[in-house]
Formats: sequence, structure tokens, C-alpha cells
Amino acid sequence: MILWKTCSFLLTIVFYYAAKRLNKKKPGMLFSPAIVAPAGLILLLLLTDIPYQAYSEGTSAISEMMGVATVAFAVPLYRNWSVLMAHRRMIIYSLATGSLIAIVAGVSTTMLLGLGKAAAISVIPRSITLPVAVSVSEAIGGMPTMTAVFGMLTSFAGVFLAPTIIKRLKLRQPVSIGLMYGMGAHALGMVKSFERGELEGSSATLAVIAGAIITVIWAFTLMPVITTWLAAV
Amino acid sequence: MKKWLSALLQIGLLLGFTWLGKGVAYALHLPIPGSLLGLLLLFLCLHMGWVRLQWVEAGATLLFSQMILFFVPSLVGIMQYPWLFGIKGLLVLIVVVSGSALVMVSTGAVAERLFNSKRGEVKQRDPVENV
Repeated sequence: MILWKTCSFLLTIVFYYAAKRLNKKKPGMLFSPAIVAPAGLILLLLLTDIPYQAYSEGTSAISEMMGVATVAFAVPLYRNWSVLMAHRRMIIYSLATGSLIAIVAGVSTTMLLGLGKAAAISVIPRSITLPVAVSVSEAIGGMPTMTAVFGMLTSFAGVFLAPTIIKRLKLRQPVSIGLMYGMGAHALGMVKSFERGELEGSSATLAVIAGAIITVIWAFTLMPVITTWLAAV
Repeated sequence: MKKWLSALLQIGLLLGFTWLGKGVAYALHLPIPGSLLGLLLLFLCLHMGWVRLQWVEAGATLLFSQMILFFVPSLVGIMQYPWLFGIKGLLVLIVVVSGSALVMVSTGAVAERLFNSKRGEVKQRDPVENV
């Protein structure tokens, strides 16, 4: 058992660095370590018949670092605080719009495609950073695991869509690019916008934090409307 | 070598703030995740001057450069939902991708518009000038 755990820990690191080297030779979203490394590991786990539970226990130390990295975002946030405060109006308005559209679009498309009411409620907090989304989902009567899936896919979709949107909308301001990344792709978006620049990264961080707060406010004010609507359908 | 060691020590300090955030969230039964609380605590300490920027800067940079690694185990967790690879998964994907596109376009467009409307009042730096 201990051997397994050390193995999954070491294998994750090996796969990650191998994927990173591959990405240097083949740049592009599909060869990102965020896709290649997990895909390789899933394949390996399926082939060797190791349950996810065992793998997850062995790699909890790595997942734990996600929290430490979240805390570290205080550094760029602090360094760029004055610039961000100068744009506070634009930040609040754009995040309020984005999170409202996230809820409305999520609920309506889920119902339209016939995925069911439980899924429609679980999709509401998907644009918030994962740990917060899961607790919000529980609070409004959704299914936390479903929300987690929606959230992970959202992160991917956001990172995947971002370059095209930036080009099409001709976004030039680092703050708007960061806000878009943070609102659309939360944690992974924070990483990606950081690769573009310090101000982009901090705006994304702020978008993740402020976006979470604003989405929660929207969710609780809109919940009565949504429940009546879902009951009528 | 010394640079690495100090970065690792700084990560230790960041780890301390993470645990502090988790402890406070747990003790006060707050519905906020501990790591976000830790972020706010560290930000407050930096703002008040209790923690110097140089004490955490290198550690933060090192963490950011390897950030995707920390997500890998949770991403592997997708394998718990085999239905995602069927028709239902395709529908979910449509919901997520269309929704994300709308969210990002609206957020980006509103932000950029408001920024441009401010251009008259505040002198902004021109990216071309800086080159």
C-alpha cells in the first residue's frame, strides 16, 4: 500500500515533467501538461486497474500545494493593488455582468438540453474557483460532484477559448485580459494569465476572489426566481 | 543553490499561512475555503507591513512556475465520471463551452469598453511608447 502511494506520487511528478518537455517541442493547447499528464496517468491507472481512491491518497501532498499556491497569489495582488484599485469600477461592472451571464446561460442551456433540474442547479456555481463552488453547490441544493465536474471542464474550456476571444474582441488592456481569464477559467486561468504578465495575473486573481463573492450574491438573490422557473418547467 | 534554499524556506512561510487560514476557517466555522482566507491574511500582513515582500516573493514565483503540477491529481479525478465520455458528456461539454464563451466575451468586452471610456480622464501608458 505504501509502495503504491509513493509510486503514484513519483509517477505524477515524472509524467508532469515529461509532459512539460513535450510541450516545449510541441507548443499548443492540446499538448499542454494540464492535458497530457492527466491523460497519461488516467490511461496508466485504467490499464493497471488501480482505483482512483488509492491514487488520490498517494498524491494528496501535491493537491495540498494547490492551497499554498492560492495563498501565494497574495504577492502579485499586493504588488499591483494600486493599479487594480484605480480600475475598481470597471472590475466590479465586468465581473457582475460575467457572473450573471454564467448563471443564466448555465441554467437555461442545461434545461434546454434536458440534463435535468439537479444538473441545472449544480451548474450555477461552476464559474467560481472549485473549493468555493463545491460548498456553494451544497448550500443551494445542487450535487457537489457534478459541480466539481462542471468547474473542471469550465477551467479547461476557458483556457482553450481565451486566445481566440482575445484576438476577436481585440482586447489590449492587461486588466481586461486578466479579468476575462479569472472569470472564465478561474484557477487554470490564473496560471495562464500569469504567463502573459504580472498585471494580467493579478487581475485574474482578483477576478477569482471578487467573482466568487459576486456570483454567490447573484446566486442567492436569483435562487427564488430559478426555483419557480424550474418548478414550472 | 542559496537562492533555491531561500525560495524553499519562503514556501514554508506560505505553507504556514495556508495552515493558519485553514485553522481559522475551521475554528470559526466559516464557509470560505481556508486557502482563500490564508490569501487574505497574507495580503493583510503585507499591507500592514508585518510581512515584507522579500520574505515571500521568491517562494511565490517558484510555486507559480510549477502550478500546473498541483492540478494534475484533481484532473485525473475526471476518470471517476465515465459518463462524461458518452452522449451526456457531450451535452455537458456544449453547456460548458457555450456558457464559458458567453461569460468571457461579456466580461472582456465590458472591461475593455469601460477602460476605453476612461481614457479621456486618465492618461494611460501606451504600449508602443514603452518598446
